[in-house]
Amino acid sequence: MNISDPKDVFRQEAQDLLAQLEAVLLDLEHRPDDIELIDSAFRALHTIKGSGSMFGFEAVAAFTHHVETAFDRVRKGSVAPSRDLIAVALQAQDHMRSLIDNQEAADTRTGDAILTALQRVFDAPEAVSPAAAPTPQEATWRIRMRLPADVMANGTNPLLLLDELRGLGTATITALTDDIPPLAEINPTECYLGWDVVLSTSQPKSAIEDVFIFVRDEMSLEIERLDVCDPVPRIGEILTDLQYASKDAVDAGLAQQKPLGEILVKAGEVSPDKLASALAEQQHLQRENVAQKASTHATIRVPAERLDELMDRVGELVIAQSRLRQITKSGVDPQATSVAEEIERLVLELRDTTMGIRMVPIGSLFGRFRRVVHDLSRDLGKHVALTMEGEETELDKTVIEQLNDPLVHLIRNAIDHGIEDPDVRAAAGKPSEGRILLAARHAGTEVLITVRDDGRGLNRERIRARAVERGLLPAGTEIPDNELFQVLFQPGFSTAEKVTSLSGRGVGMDVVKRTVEALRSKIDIASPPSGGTSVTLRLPLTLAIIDGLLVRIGNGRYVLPLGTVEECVELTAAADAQSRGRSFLNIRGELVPFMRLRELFACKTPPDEFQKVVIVSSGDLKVGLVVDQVIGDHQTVIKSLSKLHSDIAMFSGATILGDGTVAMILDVPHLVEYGQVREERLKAVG
Amino acid sequence: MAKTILSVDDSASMRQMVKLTLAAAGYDVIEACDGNQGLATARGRAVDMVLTDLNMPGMDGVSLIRELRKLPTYTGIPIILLTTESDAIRKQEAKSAGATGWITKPFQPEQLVSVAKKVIGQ
Amino acid sequence: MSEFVMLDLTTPAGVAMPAALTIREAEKIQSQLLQAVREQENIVVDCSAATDVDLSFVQLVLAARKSAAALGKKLSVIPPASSVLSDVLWRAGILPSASDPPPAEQSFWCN
Repeated sequence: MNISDPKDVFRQEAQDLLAQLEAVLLDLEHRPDDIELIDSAFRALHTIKGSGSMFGFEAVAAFTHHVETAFDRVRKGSVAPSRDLIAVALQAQDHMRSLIDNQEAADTRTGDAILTALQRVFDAPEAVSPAAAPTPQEATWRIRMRLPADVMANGTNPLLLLDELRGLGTATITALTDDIPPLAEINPTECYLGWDVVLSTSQPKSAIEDVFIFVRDEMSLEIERLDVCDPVPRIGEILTDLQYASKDAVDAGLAQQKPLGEILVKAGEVSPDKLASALAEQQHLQRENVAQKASTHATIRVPAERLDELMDRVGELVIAQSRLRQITKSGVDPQATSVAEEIERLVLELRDTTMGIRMVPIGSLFGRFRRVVHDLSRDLGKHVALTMEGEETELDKTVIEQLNDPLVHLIRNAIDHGIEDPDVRAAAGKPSEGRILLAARHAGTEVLITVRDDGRGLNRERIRARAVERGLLPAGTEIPDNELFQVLFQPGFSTAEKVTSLSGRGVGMDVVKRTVEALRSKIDIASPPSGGTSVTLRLPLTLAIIDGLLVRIGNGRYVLPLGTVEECVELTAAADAQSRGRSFLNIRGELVPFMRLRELFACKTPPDEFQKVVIVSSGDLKVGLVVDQVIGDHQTVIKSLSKLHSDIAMFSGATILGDGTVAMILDVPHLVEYGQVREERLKAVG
Repeated sequence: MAKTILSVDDSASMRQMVKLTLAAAGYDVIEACDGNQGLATARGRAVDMVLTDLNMPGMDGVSLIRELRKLPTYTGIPIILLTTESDAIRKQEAKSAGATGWITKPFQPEQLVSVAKKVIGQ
Repeated sequence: MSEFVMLDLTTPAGVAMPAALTIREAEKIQSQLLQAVREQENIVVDCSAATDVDLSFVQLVLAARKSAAALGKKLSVIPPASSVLSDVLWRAGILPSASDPPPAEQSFWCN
């Protein structure tokens, strides 16, 4: 059992709230009238302030208090959320973040400066909101209606009024029959019923008032806004709020063990109808709560290590299960075989479900980039709109975190080099606002993530010229765009005319490429005829499981990631004869060097008669790996190597085969690099 | 079955507009050209709603409402009056006499339909 | 020996309600119900013939039930085959919904 430090718990939750707050502030820029967003921001600030002081984060609490006060004024409608206010609020949010990370280190002058700026925003004349109140979005109202006695006789049908209220949204209606007199005393044409209605609607309060337009003067009508908070208020609180039970009665009732409502009704403290009304209000709020949560992806927090452990167990189960399958394949015991088959089915389903848990929608990653785009475009004086597609596309969590840096770099490139200045764009007949699209989608066993901009696109001629200049490309060759653009990943390659503080040094792209390869992924660049640039990452669905090619070298079996394998050919006797010196294969006119892995791994066993060559690629290099036998495709869980072996660069991990033996997973980029180095040495020796 | 509306107005053009508008919305409309005729019609049959002008010769709107409310068959039947902006006092009188609601002149024909829907549905 | 068939004379006879159960019939219905509450032990309000129901009738039934309870008597309702009564009950917020079965206190509406 791990006991977490309360300070860490606060930090974690505060970080989540701050992330939410940032998203809300960015949304608020586009929808300044959205009451929901304003409330959401206020609530986040309020919670951080409260928890902060509880857990000893005094500086955070104090600072946040001022920001919260500011947002309270926005919430009450006395100030509109202007662009300046949001910019300051974002700065405040950054400062809060740094205060939470390290209270001592944070600069109080920064905090003071932000608070001053905040004050200035409020004092500025444009900060005062216009006369019209912001149009309300979805809100929940408590409506209490008591109609005059002669309302029905004079032609009003209360049922139609209630129908109208229902028509405004989602309504929970409770009739109050307490005032109905006994049969002998009742005036049959008079109305003794009252109603309590809880209504959730996106219509403004005036729409509710309009329902009662003909009876307004003679009736008693109360319309109050209710907060849908989590958790919903307790029944005792609602009863006292409605003034259906006294606080004393509620307190006395709570002291007993039975449900409060029962006790109060029994004691005659509240009528059954009034209790029903309070319960109805509670249930309505609870339903609204659930509806709100559902629309914001309710989640359960699980420590990441537990998920990893689960994945490990499942992985081992998969391995054990495949061994079981091997054993029962012989069919000697039909009962055992059939149970083994059932276990196989269940285990594979379990694996899929578990992998599903680790899947996280990429929207969480994309969301962070909104801030990046916002800040960058401000800094560079460009207008950029960010759109996203496929935010619901899910990726294994092991992959998502590693995508952050490469994607940020690609976005930076797009804004810095791709998207032109507003006047340049206008002159070219383009909208002055540039567009960046972040898109994600599944394609077979891959996930495609695209960063596309509608900027000036890639200049083929300049790139080709630069490539030839640096000897990366023989002059005069015709190669397809995708291959041409791969030169952009060479270290130090840049066609940028000026180097900005952000990019242009050509440092970023090769780092991107390396990260992408470490993820066993590929990256494609295109400059479509419609304009702009498009960079697509092709990722495997998960890094925990590998699709591999199983090969045998000597007595050992090894796995090559299928994504790196181009093709397999046989090593003919003629080519084999060149056992010393440089070895090349002629594959359809292309010279591909090959390496004998038997030599590399110092195999003592006699070689197979017909050696096979597996052609693998790493970056734009191709190498043939000579093995004794190509066994076949194999999908399996990757196990990391222990500390003892993890330094061996040739192997990126290991896996346990169905028969229980271990197969090492070859690290292709390293193998290729090694082969290259050896090649250079041999060349030098002559 | 369609709901029936009794339209009482001394202006023929107003009666025509009311009839066309409400009939198009699916209501059956019967007419009376003044308060007396309206009352006589009401005594003879039940309707689902009464729409009456305020200023009419003979029996005016307020009196009509008062008389209608005396009929046991008209208890609970909505009575809507057509009133001009400035007629605040008469409007109050009408309410005391038992009017259910009102439409202020000048009005868009659609308002007739929305008020009818509001007080008798459909 | 011939068999005797026992007639069960304690089965309550329903108070037959007319087809129209609106505010215009409310006075008449009030008298009917008063009589039933006075004279019967187990009042069954038979609405099988109902075609038109409004809120005033619902009020009367609730009032009758109150009076019956004060006399230690039970009151229940035979609903019409159509939904005219249940529609009014859930629109009025007396029954929680049009389709779900009513909670215990309101079950008398369905006898």
